Amino acid sequence: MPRRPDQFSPRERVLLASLTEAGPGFYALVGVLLAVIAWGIIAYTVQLRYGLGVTGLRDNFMWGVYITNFVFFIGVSHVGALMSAILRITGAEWRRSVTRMAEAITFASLLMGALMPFVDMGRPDRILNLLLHGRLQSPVLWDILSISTYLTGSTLFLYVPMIPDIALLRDRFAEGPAWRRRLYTLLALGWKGTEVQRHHLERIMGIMAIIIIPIAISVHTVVSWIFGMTLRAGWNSTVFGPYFVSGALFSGAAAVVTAMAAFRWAYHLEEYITEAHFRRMGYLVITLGMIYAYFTFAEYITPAYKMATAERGYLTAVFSGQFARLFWFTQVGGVLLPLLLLTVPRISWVPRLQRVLFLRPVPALATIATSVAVLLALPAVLPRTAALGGFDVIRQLPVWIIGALGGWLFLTLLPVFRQRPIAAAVVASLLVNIAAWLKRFVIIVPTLQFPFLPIQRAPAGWAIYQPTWVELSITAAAVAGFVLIYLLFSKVFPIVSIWETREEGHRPGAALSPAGGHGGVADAPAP
Amino acid sequence: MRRLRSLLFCGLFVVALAAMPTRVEGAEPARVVLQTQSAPDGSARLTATVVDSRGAPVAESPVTFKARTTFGWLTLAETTTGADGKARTILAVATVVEEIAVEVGGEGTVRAAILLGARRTSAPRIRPGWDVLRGVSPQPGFISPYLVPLQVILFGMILGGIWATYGYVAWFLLRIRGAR
Repeated sequence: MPRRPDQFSPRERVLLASLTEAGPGFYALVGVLLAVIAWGIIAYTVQLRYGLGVTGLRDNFMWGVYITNFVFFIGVSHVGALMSAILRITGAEWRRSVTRMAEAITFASLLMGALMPFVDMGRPDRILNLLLHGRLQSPVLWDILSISTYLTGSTLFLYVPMIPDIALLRDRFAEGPAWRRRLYTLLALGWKGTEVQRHHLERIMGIMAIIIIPIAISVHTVVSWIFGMTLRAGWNSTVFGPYFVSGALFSGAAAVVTAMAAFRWAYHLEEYITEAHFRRMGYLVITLGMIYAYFTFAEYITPAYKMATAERGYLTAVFSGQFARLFWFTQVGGVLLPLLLLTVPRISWVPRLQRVLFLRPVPALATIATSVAVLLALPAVLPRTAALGGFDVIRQLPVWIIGALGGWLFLTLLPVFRQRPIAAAVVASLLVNIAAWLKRFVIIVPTLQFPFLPIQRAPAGWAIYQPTWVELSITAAAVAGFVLIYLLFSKVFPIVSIWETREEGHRPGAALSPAGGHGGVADAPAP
Repeated sequence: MRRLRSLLFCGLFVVALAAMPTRVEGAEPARVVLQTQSAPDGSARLTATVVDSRGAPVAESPVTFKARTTFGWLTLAETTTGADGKARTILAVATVVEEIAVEVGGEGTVRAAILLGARRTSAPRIRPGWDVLRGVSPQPGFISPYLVPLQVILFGMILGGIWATYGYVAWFLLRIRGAR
């Protein structure tokens, strides 16, 4: 017998409403995303028509923004399967509201990530050759095999725990739109919640939770081997595998925090996603961030200590040259500040900062705004560098001032963030994700700029890489595609597991079922 | 004396005229014959013989050698025929060229082409022997032109194991569907 709507708790009705109710904001967002995707398709058509010459890719820069996107999306995809599986196995109760969000992130970002190598190919029609003539000895082929395996596994891992919920929706929308009825009936696999079905589901979830962990780890390890298996400066590293995995988990966990905040706000899921969830996710992000910071240190200190000839140009460009701003932003803005922001709620002395006059929001913000205005006018006021006898510090002055102002702003806002831990977590996670993308760029491009044989007899513009509007448009479209897939998923399936949270919510303090270690299905809905 | 000098001058003039290389009237290129001669090192010697309508060799005729590539005709050499009506060039790597053509004259009206046969790729110098079967690659590590048996076994076990598990999961999903 179908479950009647009044059999759902109020918070479940809120969750179900998010499937059907869509305000003007939703349609506006979908419209914007579709427009960005359409623009990206136009850009790709230009690339197909005129070749990779319309991009910034050249002889020495065979990889650029597209492969940056690829590594970034594959990295973000990690956390869904891995975090969900680990939390299921360890029986962490609080994960019930967030695991599906994480698993859906995996699905959406894998789709976009897997698309990027095709975009990077000048002749995508030759992709079949990779399978026909690919060499099993090549990490590129390993990558294709591992990503397709992971995509299949993570789709199963997302789908299997959804079966009881899909059965709920099948009954809930028994008189709803035909496409929903058909879809839910097909995917529910005739779920009635019988003892045998529960037993089978438990078994599958147990298997998938265990097998998805090594698969997820291996995928990003193999992605790192595309670089690490070469002898090139910056890539020739033995720690690239764990370094990439730790970075992927860090950025992926931050992406989950962003998604939690977005859905909490848009779908009014305050009862499902509480401040405690953000706090616990914050701990997870802090832990992963510290592991990532350790690997980053280990990765750079070893070659920087030796400064071998082949590495010198590359390391100088990254630490103090052309890529220094990006690199240090990824370290300070992408690791240090987020970790500080996430620990702010636990720091007792932060409220005392407001006692300091120049750290009070109003005077501080006014001074910072004035400084920025002065800074903008600075180039016109300052004498030319040549007139100062080549005094280079003057050229660097704006950068240092901006850094100092950023630090000041951060200290001013710390007490505010302490009072708003969710806002602090969201800002931290956004910083982590922006920096994660930039870090992938810093990993890929500088190495290509410093080959063993110096770039020669090439037009001046070919010795540096600058992404063109085509690449940036396609990148924007990929991000929009990721958000759109995620958004549409949340409109078709509940973004929070109903049956798992029902178990948590309706039986507070109840011991887990024997299968509870990996999300028991003892309380999965029966008709 | 003056008469003698005039006679001598005229004689020298006639000799000089006779000695000047002159094209035979009507010696326009009518046909070109292209020949190749392969060398053991993979190169090929290309010879184009240009003759007129009477079959006599045409000297100083511009000749262009071309090779067909994936991207169209690539000019190999531009030269002229010698007194014997022959123009020559050497194709350094003949194994990757499928078709050679020669064009005579600026307009390229007289043309000949020759197929060098199917593209030949040189065989690898090191061929796998029985040692491959014992898990030893002809080259060290995985950087090998041949499949390393150990690697294939590892891949087969890992990927096969994962996909077999997926199959097992799919089978259980079907059992969920059939369960009462």
